[in-house]
Amino acid sequence: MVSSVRDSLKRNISYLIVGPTLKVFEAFFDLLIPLFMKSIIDLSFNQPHDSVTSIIISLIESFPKIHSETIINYCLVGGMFILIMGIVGFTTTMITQFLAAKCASNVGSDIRLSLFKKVLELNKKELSSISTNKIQTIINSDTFQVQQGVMYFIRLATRTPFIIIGSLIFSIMLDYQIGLLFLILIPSIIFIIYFFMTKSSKQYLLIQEDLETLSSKVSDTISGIRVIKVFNKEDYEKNKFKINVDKYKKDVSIASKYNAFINPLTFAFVTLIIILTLVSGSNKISENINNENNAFLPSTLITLVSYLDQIFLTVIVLTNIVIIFIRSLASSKRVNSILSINPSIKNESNVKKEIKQKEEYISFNNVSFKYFDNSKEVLKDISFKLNKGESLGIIGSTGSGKSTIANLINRLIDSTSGEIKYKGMNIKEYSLNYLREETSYIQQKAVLFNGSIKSNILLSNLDTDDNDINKVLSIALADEFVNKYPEKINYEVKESGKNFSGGQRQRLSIARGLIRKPELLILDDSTSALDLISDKKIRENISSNYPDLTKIIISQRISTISSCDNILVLDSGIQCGFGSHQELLRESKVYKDIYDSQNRGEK
Amino acid sequence: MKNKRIFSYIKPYKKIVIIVFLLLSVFLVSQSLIPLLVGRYINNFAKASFTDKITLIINYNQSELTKYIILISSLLLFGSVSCFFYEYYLAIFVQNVIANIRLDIYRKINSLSISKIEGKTVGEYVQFVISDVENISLGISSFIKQLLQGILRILITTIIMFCTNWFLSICVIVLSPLSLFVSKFVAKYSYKSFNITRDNTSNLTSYSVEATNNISLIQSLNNQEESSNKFESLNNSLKKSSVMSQFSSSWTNPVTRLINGLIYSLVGISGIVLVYYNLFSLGIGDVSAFLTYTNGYTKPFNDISSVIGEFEAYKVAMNKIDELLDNEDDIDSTKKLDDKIKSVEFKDLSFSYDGNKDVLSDISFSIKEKEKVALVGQTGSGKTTLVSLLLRFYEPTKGTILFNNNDINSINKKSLRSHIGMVLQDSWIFNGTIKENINYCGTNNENEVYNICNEIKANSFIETMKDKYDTHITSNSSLSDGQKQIITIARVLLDQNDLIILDEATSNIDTLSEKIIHNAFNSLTKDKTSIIIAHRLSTITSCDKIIALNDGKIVEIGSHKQLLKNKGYYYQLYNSQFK
Repeated sequence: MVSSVRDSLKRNISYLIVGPTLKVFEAFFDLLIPLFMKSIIDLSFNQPHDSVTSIIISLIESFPKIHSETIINYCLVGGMFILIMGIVGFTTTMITQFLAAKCASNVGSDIRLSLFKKVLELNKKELSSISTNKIQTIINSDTFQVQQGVMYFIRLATRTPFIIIGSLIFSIMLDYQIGLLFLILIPSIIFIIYFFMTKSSKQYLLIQEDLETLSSKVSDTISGIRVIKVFNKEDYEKNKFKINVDKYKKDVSIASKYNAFINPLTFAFVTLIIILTLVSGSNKISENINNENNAFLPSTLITLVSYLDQIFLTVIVLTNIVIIFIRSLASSKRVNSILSINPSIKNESNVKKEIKQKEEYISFNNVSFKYFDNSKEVLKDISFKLNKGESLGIIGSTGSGKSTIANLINRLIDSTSGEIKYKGMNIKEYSLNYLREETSYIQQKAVLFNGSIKSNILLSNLDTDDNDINKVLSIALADEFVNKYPEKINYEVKESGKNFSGGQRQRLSIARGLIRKPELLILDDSTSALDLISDKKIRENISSNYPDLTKIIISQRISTISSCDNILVLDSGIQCGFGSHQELLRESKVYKDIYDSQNRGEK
Repeated sequence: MKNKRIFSYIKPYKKIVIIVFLLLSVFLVSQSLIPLLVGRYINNFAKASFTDKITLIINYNQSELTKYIILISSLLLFGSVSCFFYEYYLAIFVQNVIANIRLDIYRKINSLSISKIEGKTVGEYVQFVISDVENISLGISSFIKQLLQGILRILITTIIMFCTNWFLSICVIVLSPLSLFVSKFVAKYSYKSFNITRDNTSNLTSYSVEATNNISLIQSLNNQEESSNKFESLNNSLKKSSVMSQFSSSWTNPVTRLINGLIYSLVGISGIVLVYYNLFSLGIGDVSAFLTYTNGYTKPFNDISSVIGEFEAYKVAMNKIDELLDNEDDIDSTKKLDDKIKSVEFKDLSFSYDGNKDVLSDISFSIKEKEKVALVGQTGSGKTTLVSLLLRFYEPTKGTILFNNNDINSINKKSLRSHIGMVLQDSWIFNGTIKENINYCGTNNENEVYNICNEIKANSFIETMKDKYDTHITSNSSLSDGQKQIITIARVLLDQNDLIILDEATSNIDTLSEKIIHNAFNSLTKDKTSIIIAHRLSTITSCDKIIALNDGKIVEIGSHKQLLKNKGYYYQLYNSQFK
């Protein structure tokens, strides 16, 4: 686990130092090539020596003759040096490239894994402030951006500035006036590119939003196609879509305008510098025609034009790298924002405890919960007890806080105030593993994972055989459809179980909960997509197969919970009754109202 | 090639295309001539002298040089202006083409039949409209910017070089593409590891999406460790393959640089030798021009070869879109249903989705004007299918439905649906304000919106929201399922229809609120015909007619009282609610 992007970079520090250092060789050799060419020209045409190339010239001159014709000899020797530099540079670069790939992949995978582990530790409260979409983007695309950033850093962070600065230094050494001209004009090119790029990248944020609008429009249309057709709104939707498309078109056109400035302006600037170099260079040469020690030669002019080419090409690379770096910096901030979260619910101790039948299993003492300091309380002053082997029904309308109680028992969240006791001790004393191992919390939204029916059932209990699986499937009434597949329990489950109906998913998720042989079973509206007969049958099956099970049944239907030992009645987070069905009919008005609404005076 | 459709999109912009092409040519000619002129300029004052000692003599002719400077400056002007307009018009052209493609796709989606539309996932359609179209846009612009521009540049540079010196030209032309072959060779080897990396990436992505969508579930199943381990093993295989693919792809640049550097020196050195021996009357400035051409000569080749990948993506996207646009529109009829719906009659109707298993068989019953009919039965008994047929989302396999004694197959769909309102099982909330979501039918009378919401007690939660009726909501909003259902009920009640269908419209609403809504619904629709599908039977006891379905067949028809007396299927179903 790494705690931040920086942390992961530190672990790979050796790559980050060695890689860029090796890269300097190639860059340096690239800078020398134009000087070698100049030296060959000067030697061949008997030009006066100039101080910049004197070392290279003496190197070529002192090399043993390999050809009798002087000029051919110079060319061969010079060419050989260039070849050797090329090969050495290539070799070191290849090492760098490998180090870059290795380091980037290390950092990327470190960060991804740490993010994933961190996210799995976050509780519902913490998750409620980050959208799942954001988490997924950070794990999948932001880490990739960081990885790209690391790779390009190693590959180009030294090369590009080295080439640009080196070319400028050599140009100044060759002729300080023209060199200074480069020094002033090169930043102006960079500025122009930068100016239009930031303009257009701001515009691209808008374009990104436009694309998101388009995509949400399309997904809205597809998911609501039946409604659209019932309302005869096809033409209306088409017009609305056209407005979105036109907005996108307009925003892209503006960005294109900014982009269209970059190439012609840089082209114009570079050409302008060439013109100035030519004019001032030829002036210098002609002024000093008769001066034997003249340092400014026709070859100097050629070399300067070459350096200018090189600077210009590298500046383009540099702007691209800057974009990659900016992106990866933004991404690494997003990565850090997740990695720096300190999960408030942690695995702390290893207390385990057994209790006997009819002893207090769970108790709530004035428990309240809210998501944020300034938000409304989801639960307020809830108090009740549940003994081992008994059943508790929780009833209330949507949004009354029923599921929140289940979340608290499972420690998916912690209460804001009040105390929850589990087997007589504060629930926070237990390790999360122990707590969750003993409890099966079956949620209303039945989610299956990509794999097979078997892999989904086994998700929580790996050491069981097929007989156990078949048993829980039959308890959950899932056997009737599972056995229809030729592959039976090995039948494929597609992503999020989309090849199963809502009712089938709920039955499988009940089976998944039962195979763990839990002490406490929480059914949170887990049969909402089932018809009443199946719903009842499943509850009966569970009672007869697991007589000692402690149960919490959450529902909106009186019929589902009326047989529970105790029933907790909730209304907008407030406890409006606790007792048996008969007691509540007498004592709780809310309960009586719900009962009446569901029975309509019949029977 | 099946990709002919693109031409029909380009055709309306023929003029822009021609202008873009002309501007591009002007730009490329100006840009390519500059190195030659720079070379000529140098030639002009530095000539090789072959008299006694071979050296370069300086011949400074001010007026001659000024001519060149003026020439270069005017090329600068032409080049940069045409370059700007070329890039700008190209973008405009591409944007217009892809906007039209987008609109056509969207239009097509709206005119397909329900079974066609629902045969693909939402994600697939989003991909059509977003990424596939983006790929087409990329394909077209890279076709012009890289392929066309690259070919033109090679052509123009080649001509200019040949006009200067054929020997050096052949050197440049033969040697420069060498780096291209090498990089192709590298690409071929890295292709395999790239594919592996891509597969590994998508495995990891789909696993992480699945897991992060269900964090609480994983926690409560105590499955964090297994999840992390699975992620770690997927992550490790991605790491391994990504080292290989990133390394193998990073060969291209150094290899190209090495080869280009060598060619550069070779051209330079042979140029010097040619000048020295006074061959082909080559000047030293020409050598400098050739060095610039050598530097720039491989770039268009690289551009052209990089187009291939983008072009593949373009072809795949275009074929997919082609296929979508080639789909037949949904069948329709012309007869209008002008009168109110007075009677609906199902006649021996059977229906099957796949042609094998009948979902509905031999359904016959009729509904009179203002009647309230309930459909009951277990999950999968065919209730939703039945009402889908009523809206002509599907065509019956056998038998038919008569509206005012007109065969449904002869009635125009729009005209049929204009009489029917329906609340579906899955509540549809679109990106917009609450008011827009409720007032989907588009009535001008805003008061009606508030009245309806008042009646069904929707305003109680809407008023607590941030901007009340103007609160922006999306399908993923924090609205509860029940609240979403209430909004969709209000939406249908606002639209004045003769026949209203509720398909488990209150399944997620608590029983107290459900009662209120049903009372309101009954009073608002007392003059209308309605069909109600419900799990909770307490809501339909007052209906005129209850139709019990089991396994796609009608088991019983009658009023609540009659059916209870019968002690048949409905009786069983009803009693199961109260244990």
